[in-house]
Amino acid sequence: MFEFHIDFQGQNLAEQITQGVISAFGVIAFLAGLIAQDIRLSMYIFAAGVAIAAFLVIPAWPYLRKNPIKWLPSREKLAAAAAASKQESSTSDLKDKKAS
Amino acid sequence: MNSLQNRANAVMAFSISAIFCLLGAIAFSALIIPSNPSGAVALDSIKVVTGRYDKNWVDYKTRNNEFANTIMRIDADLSSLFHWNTKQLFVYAVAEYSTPTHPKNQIVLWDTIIKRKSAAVISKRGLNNKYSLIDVNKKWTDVNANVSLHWNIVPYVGFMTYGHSKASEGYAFPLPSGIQT
Repeated sequence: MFEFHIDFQGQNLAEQITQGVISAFGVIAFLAGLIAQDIRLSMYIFAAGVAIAAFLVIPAWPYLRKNPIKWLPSREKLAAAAAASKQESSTSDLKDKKAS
Repeated sequence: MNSLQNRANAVMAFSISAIFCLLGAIAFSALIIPSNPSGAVALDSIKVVTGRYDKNWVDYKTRNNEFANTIMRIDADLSSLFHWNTKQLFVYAVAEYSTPTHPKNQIVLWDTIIKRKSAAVISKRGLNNKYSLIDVNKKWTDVNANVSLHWNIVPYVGFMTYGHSKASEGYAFPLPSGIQT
């Protein structure tokens, strides 16, 4: 219940979002502060950028889970299926023999 | 990035690298901002007195230390030095002179810290020197000094930068004229 996993495509997307958003807000913060000559403005804009990136990426949103991983069936199930099909083929052989 | 902690760690680590680049850019940008500060110090009077102790000089062993008392006037307009990376200005008035034993001596007559652009215009009259003025050779005779105003820009992030005004020349120190303490 507390897993909050995302799939591989989602992880790729998450990485791109964090780098893109934080870098963009870094550039905006520098330019805004340079024009307004206020260093506190730069720090506030950058902090807002980090908060936005964290909001978009840290919770396990559905858009990050669109390509779920296709796991192979478990070995016990495979073994049970193999045993069942072997039983079937052996009984069908017997049936054929009896018929012929 | 498959768990909550992993994604939080990735966001935080990248933001620290990014803030480092931002602060570096701010530090370098402050080097190329133009400014035109101006300042001047003039001494209205110099008196030399002898005594055992003074403002911040306590030497009970010697009765006749020679202290110089100056009255200064200072005018300065340092408001153009306040850009976005300026945290405060440290402004100090320096008297520079040479003696036979020591070719270059500098003593601080007065200093102040300016934290806001609105306080950056200085106009002082009748100012006494803030610290005791005593020469390493214990005598002020034959000393001829230049006085100038120096400033130091303390940044939020980056490099400490310095500047100074032109020097007012030719202040001669008189002979001791009285006993102080």
